[in-house]
Amino acid sequence: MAIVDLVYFGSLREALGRDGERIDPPSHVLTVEDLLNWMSERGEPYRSLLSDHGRIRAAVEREHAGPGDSFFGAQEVALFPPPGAT
Amino acid sequence: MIDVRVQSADFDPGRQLERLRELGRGAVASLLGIAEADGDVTSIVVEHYAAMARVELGRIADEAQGRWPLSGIILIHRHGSFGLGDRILFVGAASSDHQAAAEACAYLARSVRERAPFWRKERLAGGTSRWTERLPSAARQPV
Repeated sequence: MAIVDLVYFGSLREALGRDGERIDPPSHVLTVEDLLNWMSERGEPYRSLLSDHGRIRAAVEREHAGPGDSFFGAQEVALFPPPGAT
Repeated sequence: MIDVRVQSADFDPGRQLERLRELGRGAVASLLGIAEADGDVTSIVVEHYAAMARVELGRIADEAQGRWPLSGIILIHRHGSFGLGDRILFVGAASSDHQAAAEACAYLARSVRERAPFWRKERLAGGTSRWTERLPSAARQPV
């Protein structure tokens, strides 16, 4: 798996204290769900914030992606809480 | 005609309605989203995923265009800081069919609310703030 730019938004960005980070996930991390599990295994604050997958949405290359969707080959993956400003 | 905009600047809803009226169809349906909050909220900040926001609004407009016989769609979503009562969102659809315009407008507004990558933070009297959509555990505390 190639290096991926993770970007965070909303309350997740603020809770993590960063806009994003560059990651190099292992080859078995292929889907959004894999990614959330792998990130959660890194410990806090990721475990608390990412382990409840129902509360986290993702976009792969700027398109909404579900838990089972692959991000293989993607350069940018976004993680965020459910959107809604209005 | 599909016109999708993501901007910090305010817009004139009357002008947008006029643009849709000028298409010459029988019906224009629209929705104006306004900054509203309860309690001791003093202002609102709307954060967005800039690289995705306009693309996603375009997808939503394309979907509506494919489902109803529309001659025009305007979507405008603002980001930045807002006082209560400020305009945040404009959704408009023009069609020869009244029901199509109304249904498309409702679909557009619902889809924008559920899918467009914008998040809302409320600033409270006293200097604290909170996100409307909160995360478990560590993110629960007002910041």
